[in-house]
Amino acid sequence: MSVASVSRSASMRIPLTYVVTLVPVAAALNIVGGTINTALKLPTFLDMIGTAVAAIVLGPWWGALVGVITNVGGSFINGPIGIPFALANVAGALVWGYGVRSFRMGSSLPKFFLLNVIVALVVSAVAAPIVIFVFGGATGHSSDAITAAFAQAGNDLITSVFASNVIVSLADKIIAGFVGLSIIAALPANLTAGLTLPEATGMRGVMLALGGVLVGVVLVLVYVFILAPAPAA
Amino acid sequence: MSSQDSNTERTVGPREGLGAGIVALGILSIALPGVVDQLPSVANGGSAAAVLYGMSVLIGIFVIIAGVMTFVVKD
Repeated sequence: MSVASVSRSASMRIPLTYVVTLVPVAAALNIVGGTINTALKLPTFLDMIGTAVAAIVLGPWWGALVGVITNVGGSFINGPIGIPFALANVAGALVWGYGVRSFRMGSSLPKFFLLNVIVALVVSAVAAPIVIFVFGGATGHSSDAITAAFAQAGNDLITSVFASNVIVSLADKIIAGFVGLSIIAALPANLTAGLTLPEATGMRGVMLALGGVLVGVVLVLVYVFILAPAPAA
Repeated sequence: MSSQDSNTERTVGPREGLGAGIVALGILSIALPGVVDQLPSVANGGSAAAVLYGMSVLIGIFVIIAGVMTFVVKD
């Protein structure tokens, strides 16, 4: 057996103690992030950082477990409104997990950035129908203001909800992905053995993420204030 | 007991991870019907059955993905 195959095989097995520790901590991180986000009324979610960490380090389906624990457990604090969105959390975990572990999308910063964009699109594809058909288009989240702006610009409910969800989700998942990456960098080396993740490059990753968020915000502002038709007087 | 036995550590692999994901989907399937009556649009006169149907379809899609992955995953 070659050295490479030993290393790869070892990386597939993770000590149970790490899993038992990391899963609840990741879920707690999600719940705390979501609660802080709600308290500050930020136009993000911040409830998938732990999901990203668990999905990348432990595997996609462990991330799915973290996502369900987050939303079902969080319902005891924030009410049942979050339970249907557990499926969005599961979808994000699967894309992050398989993206990094199977498709090696963590091998460079641009690829990891692209992975976060794909996560945002997939999560929106799952979450937007839930917002529309379960909650009638508004959940009381800060992003409802963006939905209202799109609706006021003449778009129908489905387009408005999906567009606002994609914008908010893009910012949220890029933040979650890169914050998760910095958390993973601080974990024991044997947990991340065999994973291909971007090297720490100081502020470069943060600036890249910020640049992406700024481009998104500018596009929204241009659309809402310049391209959108003025409301009737 | 030899020192090798005492150093043996239980580990988990992709198969156990997949099992955890399936358990998670089961938890969601159990939790959802209990709260569907408390969701806002339902309280405003919508149909609980329709919401439950839609969510069951979504959960079913993920269960199918998990089922397919049982054939793919190798330890």
